[in-house]
Amino acid sequence: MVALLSGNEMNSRLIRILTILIPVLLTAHLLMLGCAAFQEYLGPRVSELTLAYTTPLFPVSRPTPGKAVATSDCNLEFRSFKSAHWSDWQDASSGFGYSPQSTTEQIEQALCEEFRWEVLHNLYAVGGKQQFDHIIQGSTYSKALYFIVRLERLSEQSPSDSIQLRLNYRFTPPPDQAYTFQRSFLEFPAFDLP
Amino acid sequence: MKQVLAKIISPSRGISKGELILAQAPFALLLLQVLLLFAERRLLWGVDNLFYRFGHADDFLSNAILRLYYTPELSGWILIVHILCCVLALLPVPVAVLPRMGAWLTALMLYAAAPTAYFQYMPLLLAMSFASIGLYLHMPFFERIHVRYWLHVLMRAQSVLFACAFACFAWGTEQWLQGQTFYYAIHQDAMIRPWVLQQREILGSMSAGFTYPLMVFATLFPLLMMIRSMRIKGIYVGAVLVIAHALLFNHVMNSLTLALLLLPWGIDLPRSKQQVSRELEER
Repeated sequence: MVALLSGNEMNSRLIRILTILIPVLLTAHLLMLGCAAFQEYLGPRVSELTLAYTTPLFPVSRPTPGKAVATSDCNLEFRSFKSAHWSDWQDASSGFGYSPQSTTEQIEQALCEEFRWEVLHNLYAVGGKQQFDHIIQGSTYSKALYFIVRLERLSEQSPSDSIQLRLNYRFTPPPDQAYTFQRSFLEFPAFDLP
Repeated sequence: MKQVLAKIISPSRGISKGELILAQAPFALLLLQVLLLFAERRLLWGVDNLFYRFGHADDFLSNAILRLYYTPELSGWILIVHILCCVLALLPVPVAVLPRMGAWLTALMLYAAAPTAYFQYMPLLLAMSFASIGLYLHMPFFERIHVRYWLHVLMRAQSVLFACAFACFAWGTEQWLQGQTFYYAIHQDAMIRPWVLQQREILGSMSAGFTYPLMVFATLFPLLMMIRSMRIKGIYVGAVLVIAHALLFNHVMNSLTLALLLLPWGIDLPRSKQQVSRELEER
């Protein structure tokens, strides 16, 4: 069939096919993105289908330009239990010799950003005592712990018996108030490494 | 055979210098980005990488694009292929469309395996590089379906959508409306350049002077770009904002990607052969 068609006929047929196919594909693509954006309003079968398409193509959520900036600076810190004593608290990236402009610091900041969400939604108190169980069960805590263990291994330090994480918040004073900074620490329970 | 080969590898005649720059810039940025991360490849993609892995769905797309996420042993090969494809993608020949596809796909794989190591606007750079894959295609068939024209329009549409999203979020956020966003941004140590640390009290007092112009520019961006007489002025204002961003904030790739959004507007849309011949006939 193809052999019988001349070059021009083939070209015009291909153009016709593409003229139909490209808008259809584009519409399907946009429909998938639209469904993924409003997945909470759609049924599980639709969201399963749209997520199978959008998750690999858009591995993390799209950047939200113009969002509010955090009113505190946060750093992830850790201390390790080795040879029967706890080390001093150290910053997760600079503690292993990485500069504040390094990619490792960027990964640490991404973890802090996730922790902000966790603290806001999953930290609660019972009898005036902070409860960390929901945060510890979440993926952010596992990721942070794994991050420290891997950095420790890559820096060829002897492995720790336990690791404890904490978040170091430095609150930015509102512009119309005295220019003094307050610090606050959120210490997670120690984790015994297997 | 020789003629066919010559047609495939002939330099892109009929494409303006501006179009060539527009086609090459996203891939040059992808190359720059991977070179910036190259020293830390072991941390990001190697077998001992820092990222805690989760399970994804077992479907074709996940298995293809998230391949590096599951099998870090492939990271060396994918990095080599990515760098090679990025270099070949810069060649001004129609056949460069193949390495361009390769560069985009491997960029997506590398990004999917270590998303937090990348700068904030990497998805935007991926979208722009996807649109520029076919910008070299000036063969008769592609000219007839105006591929270059529509891809150029897509790049322009992406920049307008980004500016609109920015404006919508900013006008809906109290912090932006009070002009305090810049103040809080320069108090994030990891976001700013070291020199800003010493000056942030003074710079912070001028927060509204930085925040409001950005909001107004993002809001007016579609108008500034679509009204031809205003476009050049708008591009100059945008360039000043991008330079200010680069001077104040870390991650030069963010600033370069923002600059990339201005590029499709600084270059005229390619005209189809029919349009050109019609114009010539009218003369």
